Amino acid sequence: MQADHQEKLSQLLSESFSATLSELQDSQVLMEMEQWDSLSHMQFITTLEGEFGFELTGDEIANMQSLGDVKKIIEARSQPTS
Amino acid sequence: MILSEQVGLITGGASGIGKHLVESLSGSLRALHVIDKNVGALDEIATANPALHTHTCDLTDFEAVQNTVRAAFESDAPPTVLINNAGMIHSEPLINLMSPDDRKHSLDNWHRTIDVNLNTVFYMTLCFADAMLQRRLKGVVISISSITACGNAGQSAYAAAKAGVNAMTVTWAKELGVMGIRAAAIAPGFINTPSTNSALSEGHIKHIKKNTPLNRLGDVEDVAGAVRFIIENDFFNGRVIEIDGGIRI
Repeated sequence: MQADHQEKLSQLLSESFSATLSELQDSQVLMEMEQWDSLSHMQFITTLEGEFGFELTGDEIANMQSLGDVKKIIEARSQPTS
Repeated sequence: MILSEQVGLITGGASGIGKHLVESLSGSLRALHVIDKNVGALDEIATANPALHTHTCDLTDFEAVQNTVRAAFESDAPPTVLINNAGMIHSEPLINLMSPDDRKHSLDNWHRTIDVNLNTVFYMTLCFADAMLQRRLKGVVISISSITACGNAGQSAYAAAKAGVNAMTVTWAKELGVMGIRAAAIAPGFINTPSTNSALSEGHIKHIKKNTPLNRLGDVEDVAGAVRFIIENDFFNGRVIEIDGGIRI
């Protein structure tokens, strides 16, 4: 993951769930984080969209279960289009 | 939100205030879906305005609601504005001293009133919000409440249902606002409709007018104006607009 993406994601996790990226494994399920609730999840999604400049589809949101899923989506959506 | 770009979905739109809202809003919105369980009344408004998308549905049947909302979203005009209008007034005292054999409020009437006025609003909004979020659409849920939500003698069930609608409105505003879906409600007072005129005696209506600072019943267009305001004002969220001429019950 690019360093600037890493930094943005770290900031988002901290704001939404009071969590630090370096402390989390990719297998970390978002719903199982201590500070997670459905509202903080929605806030996380909209802030992520704002920070990275794309809008997730309903299916992408539903499939975004773990931190690894989040990273994959950020990487996929950030690929330059030819 | 720009009114002419929105697609509405209104429940109970074939009669009463709902019918007027359909007549008043259909020209301003891009398209309008109308749900009602009364097939004959629905056919009538469809004949009068063939541009309407009409759906027959008993809103107390959750599966039917799911299918109807799905059909609306799969049409060429997916809705962005839900107007929860369907409902029925029920008046009955908690204890009826004049009825010695069975003085207590009927449980059947209690359940039916809650079902029609509260559960249907929950069912509709549940399916609508889910479809909106899946498609990442932004919009608004407008529920028609009542000034009786603050409590009104002789209307335990109806007042409780409408208070529930107000509470759900605030809850949804908080839950869905972050995803761009607003929620608001309109609490009409006494509106000049055929149902008001048939439900209340002439003397009672006179009494209501006398106790209303504006000395008249509300007009259905007053309610339609509030619907337009809520759609157009993007910062209006989680509040109930009282359209009651200043009367306090």
